[in-house]
Amino acid sequence: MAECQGGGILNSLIIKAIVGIYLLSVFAVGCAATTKEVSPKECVENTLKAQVVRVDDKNHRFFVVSRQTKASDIKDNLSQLEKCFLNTEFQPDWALSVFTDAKYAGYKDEEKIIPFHKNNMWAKSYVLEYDQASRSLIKNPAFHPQQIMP
Amino acid sequence: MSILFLQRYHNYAKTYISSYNAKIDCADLAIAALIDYSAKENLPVKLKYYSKGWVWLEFDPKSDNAKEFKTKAMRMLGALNVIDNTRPIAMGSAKSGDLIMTKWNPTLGHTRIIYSVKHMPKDNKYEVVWYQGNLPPVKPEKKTDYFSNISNIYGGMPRRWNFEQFNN
Repeated sequence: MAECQGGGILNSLIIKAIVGIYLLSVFAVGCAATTKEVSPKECVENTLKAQVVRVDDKNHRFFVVSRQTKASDIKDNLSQLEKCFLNTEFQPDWALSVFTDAKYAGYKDEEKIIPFHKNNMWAKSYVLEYDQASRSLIKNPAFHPQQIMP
Repeated sequence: MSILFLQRYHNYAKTYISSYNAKIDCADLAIAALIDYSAKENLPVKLKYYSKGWVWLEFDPKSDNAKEFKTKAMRMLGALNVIDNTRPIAMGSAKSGDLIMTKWNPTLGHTRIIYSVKHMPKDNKYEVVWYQGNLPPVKPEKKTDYFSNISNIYGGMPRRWNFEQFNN
């Protein structure tokens, strides 16, 4: 009996240990999921459901490509977008330039962009510009611009 | 504008464009330099743009708020409007604050603001240092090239603000 009781205690301890380890691992995975580092790029992509195809570190600009993103998507998600750049060098003056196609995502005087001026495709593809420093949001900045904010 | 004020404009623009430290569009940098200089010297400015006929934006330093006028002018005018308010000058007489313009199509152009010009007598070439904003807006970028290497220069010549129209 003593042996049986001893075996029962041992079994009970083993089961508790297994359950404990299992719970600990589940908890650890849960923690990892909630504290995982999300880069500003991923954060902006997730917020706008769009792709960031180029980052200008000097001018703190993300070139975003999307055919669906509207001015309201940026305006309504500003607080979330601000969080994307929290504690980064971009925080005070980040900017988003939204184009409808990756091949147009660039500055107007760049060699690879200039050919697209012939039919004005670059200007037509450049659909939104947001600047955090001035909190200005402009629709079609290069072709009949429309100030949405401030 | 008198020669004295013109010389002061060249000097002012040189410092202005090289010390401007915010993101800005190319034409806006040129317009901002002009209006801030005019406000400082109490000089009038008249800039035109076409909208079913010529429309004038007029700045009277005695009665108008320079900041408001600058904001309005920057919102209403782009590179092609800068072309409309400037006149061609010989490369040899170009100075800081003068402009090198490009017109890519009927609605899109580019503005470069001259910082310095150096004549290379051996090749009879002009080395130009300029600053430019851009679209999307950038902190002004310094660029250097021979004038003859810059592509698509409007009219093949640098340009100067049409100061004469400001007093008319």
